Amino acid sequence: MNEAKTPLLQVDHLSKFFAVKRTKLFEPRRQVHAVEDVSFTLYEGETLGIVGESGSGKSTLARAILALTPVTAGSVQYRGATITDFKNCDAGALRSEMQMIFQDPYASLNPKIKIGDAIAEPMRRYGFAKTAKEASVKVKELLQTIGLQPEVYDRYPHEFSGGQRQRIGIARALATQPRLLFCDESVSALDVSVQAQILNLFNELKAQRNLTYVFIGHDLAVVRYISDRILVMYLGKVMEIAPYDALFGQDTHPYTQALISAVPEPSVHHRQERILLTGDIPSPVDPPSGCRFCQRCFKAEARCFAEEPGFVEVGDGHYVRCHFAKGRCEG
Amino acid sequence: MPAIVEFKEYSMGFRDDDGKVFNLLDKVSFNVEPGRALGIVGESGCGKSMTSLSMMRLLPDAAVVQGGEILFEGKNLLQMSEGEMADIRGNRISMIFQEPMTALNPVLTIGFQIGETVRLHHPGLTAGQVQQRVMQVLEAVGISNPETRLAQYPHEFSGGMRQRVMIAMAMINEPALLVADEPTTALDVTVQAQILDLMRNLKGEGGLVVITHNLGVVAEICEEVVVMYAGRAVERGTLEAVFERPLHPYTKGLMASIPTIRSSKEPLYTIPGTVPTVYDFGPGCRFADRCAHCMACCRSEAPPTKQVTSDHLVQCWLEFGGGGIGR
Amino acid sequence: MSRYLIRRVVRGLLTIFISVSLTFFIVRAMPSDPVSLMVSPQMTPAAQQAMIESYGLNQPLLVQYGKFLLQLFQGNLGTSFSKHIPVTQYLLERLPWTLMLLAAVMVLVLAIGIPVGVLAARKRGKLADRIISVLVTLGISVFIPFISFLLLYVFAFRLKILPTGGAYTPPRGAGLAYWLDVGKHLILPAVALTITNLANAVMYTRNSMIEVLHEDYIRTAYSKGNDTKRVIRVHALKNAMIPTVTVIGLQIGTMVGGAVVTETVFSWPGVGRLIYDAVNALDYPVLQGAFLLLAVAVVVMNFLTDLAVAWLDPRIRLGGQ
Repeated sequence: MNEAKTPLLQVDHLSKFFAVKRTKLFEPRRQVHAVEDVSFTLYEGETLGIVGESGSGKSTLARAILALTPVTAGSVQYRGATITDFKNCDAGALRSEMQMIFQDPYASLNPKIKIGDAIAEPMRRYGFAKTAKEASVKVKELLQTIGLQPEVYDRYPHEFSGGQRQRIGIARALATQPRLLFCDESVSALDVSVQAQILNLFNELKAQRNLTYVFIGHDLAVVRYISDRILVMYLGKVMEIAPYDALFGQDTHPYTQALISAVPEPSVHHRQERILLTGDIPSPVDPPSGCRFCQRCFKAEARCFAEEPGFVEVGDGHYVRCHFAKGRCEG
Repeated sequence: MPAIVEFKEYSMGFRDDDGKVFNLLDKVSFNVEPGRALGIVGESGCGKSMTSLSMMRLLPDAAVVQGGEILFEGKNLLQMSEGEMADIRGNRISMIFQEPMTALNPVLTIGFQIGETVRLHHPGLTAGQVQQRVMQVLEAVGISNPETRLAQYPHEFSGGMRQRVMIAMAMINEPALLVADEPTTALDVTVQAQILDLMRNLKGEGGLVVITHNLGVVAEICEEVVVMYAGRAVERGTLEAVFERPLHPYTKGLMASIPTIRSSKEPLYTIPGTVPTVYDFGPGCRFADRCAHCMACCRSEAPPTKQVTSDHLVQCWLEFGGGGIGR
Repeated sequence: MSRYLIRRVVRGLLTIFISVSLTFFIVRAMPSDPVSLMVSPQMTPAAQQAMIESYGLNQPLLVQYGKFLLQLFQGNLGTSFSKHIPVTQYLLERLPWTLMLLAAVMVLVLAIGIPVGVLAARKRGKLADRIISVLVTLGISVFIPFISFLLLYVFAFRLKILPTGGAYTPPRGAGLAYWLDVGKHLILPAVALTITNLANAVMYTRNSMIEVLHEDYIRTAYSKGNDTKRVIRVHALKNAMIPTVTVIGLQIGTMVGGAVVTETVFSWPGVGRLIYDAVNALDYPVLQGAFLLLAVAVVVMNFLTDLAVAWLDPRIRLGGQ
């Protein structure tokens, strides 16, 4: 079952804190624990989904790995070499191998630059095309791969729809022939039918170009569809890592169960009792000790408030951070 | 029981900078019954927001009403004066908007903003009575410590709390109709579940209209559905009828292209092409260019509405034996 | 909030200190010196030297600076070279007049500018808006002495209903009659300054009102049953005024010494005229005192403007997220 998989990215105990600006005279310095103690391995050729709500830290995690924001603690390794903060390594080569596709197709393209030039820019910067002519040819090929006509090279972003702009964003990311793509809420701003087209495109490109994806989203149905494995984050910490089909068993984290239960299904058949969490998502500023989820958890007991649970392996490649998780070796 | 709101062949469009009018909503018809929730479902550009704003007569300046009626409790809203509409808004018909983060005035307290809704329509009440009502409604929507919350400003509330405040503001005068435009789209999934639960409980005997692009949300709280595409109500009926036996090719395509929690990993079905803009509408069916079953008559003439069963209607030539209207 | 205030106060003091020091050195770096302006060719070199010494101008620059700072901390701004009176006294004689003029201008600018700006926003694109734009642009483009003289000519000379100059008609009276007299003298200079400064208030209000009227919460206000008048008055105005108040506050702050031409034309005994005279005479102590005053005025106005904006916008007051 477990083919030998090559680890591409290794993240160990990564943390990213932000300082909170002080407003009163003598306030102790408080920190936003955006990402705390996150560890996982990304294997070549897979799609790893990261799902979580606001404050879960999923976007910050991606930015920290790509050195778009400095890391507070922990390390990142890529193909065996340490690349944390892109220090002491070839940042240029790394940037061309690891690219990111952003959420807002309207904000992530410069409105004054022709889209063809926007895609050609990274190509030329990282040496994938030596002259403007060569770049132009390669860009037009790329445009066709993502489903746009090569003639649109000379158009400006405002002439395209949301879905088309997202395709242009994908072309820009592919311009440097990356191996690893981070998709940060890349389909969240799109209409349902367009979302389906882009998701299919992601899968086609993965097969054609042997890509590895990290897909970040808040829609569990979409993340589950596209991912091989899923990381569930809450308030900066990883609550569960599971293969996509293991998310619906009984051994899952209570937060995962609440998330699944909360997703409204387009079906008339009656659902089981919905799990409704009380209260709002707490602020990640100076979180309390104990499990991050204890305040809203329907299973919480005294132990959960006092002691933070570690990861328990409940199945093949399936880890749950909960005191109630039953390890494979037990009972 | 008579319907609370009846849309009768309502049409509206937009005037562009040169004065030319482009039609958007074309002869839209549907009813909202008391005690029932209706979902208006569609993607960008389908006109669902314009439909909801039409009920409140809060359309942008460039909008032009081109025909039809919107009957509210028997009277045509389109013929009312601005003063009569101001009496109805916030009082008999209330609306909740999509972005709770920006829908509240940042420089006024929550207590003031909710209280205003009462004061506008019940000028005889004393300040104490108004405050009573406000606190009652805040409790009803699940906001704890209402006394402290009254003096606070919107930026001190989270997204879910702000949406509860919006609901409180909309419900405080016990309107006959509540219109919710994408009420949970900007919220986290677990918060969305709470808000949908709240809306379900508060429905009461009035009517509820929920506008959304999320079929799951419709299935959660609505009993009737209208599917809109490019300004037309292409299919409508009860939830069971439309979700279990969708008839219009667009509805079928839409449902097939959404991944659900239990979908397989096969490539998702996609409807080819993109939604036409108001400038591209042709004389026939507006879905013709993207439809797998498109016939000659589809492009030349818009399909009429066919009542397939007592609770299911659809606008498609396929229901007419695949020919023109003469058959 | 307290950290915010303390930071602002410290920054303000630092600004004043640096500005005064810079003034000290720049003024002495100018070619020529005050003594050569006062000296007559008949004076012997010895007498000239004695004069220089009496003003302390022969000492090294840094020593002069040190003395100046010492005196400053004791509240002594020195003695005017040309008028031979203490600078502090000289300034304090003139300051209230300037403040009075500026207060009147500020009230007029806000009282006229904001409603006109709101009108322009509501009638955006239509004739009223365009007329307002043109009038307001005319206002800032017109040459200040021209408008001042025009007003004087029409109202003081031709119609003879308003006085020709000064802050009051001597002899200096007392009680209500005196204040009414001052008021009459205040009208023309205040109007002249208002006309030339109205543009900012109108355009900022207009533009920010247009933006505010597109915000979601305005749509919510309508959906509750508010009519247009109430929407503008209760919901839009407070939000729209924030940029206007900021700009006008800063503008007034810089006008303390900037109303020179107006004060000259109307013979208004204010600080602007004082600075003009002091520059001509290279009267170092007066210049330093005046610039200290200007720096303090700007810092104080900035601070007051910040407070006003914090009052208008609770997000700033409470340290919004």
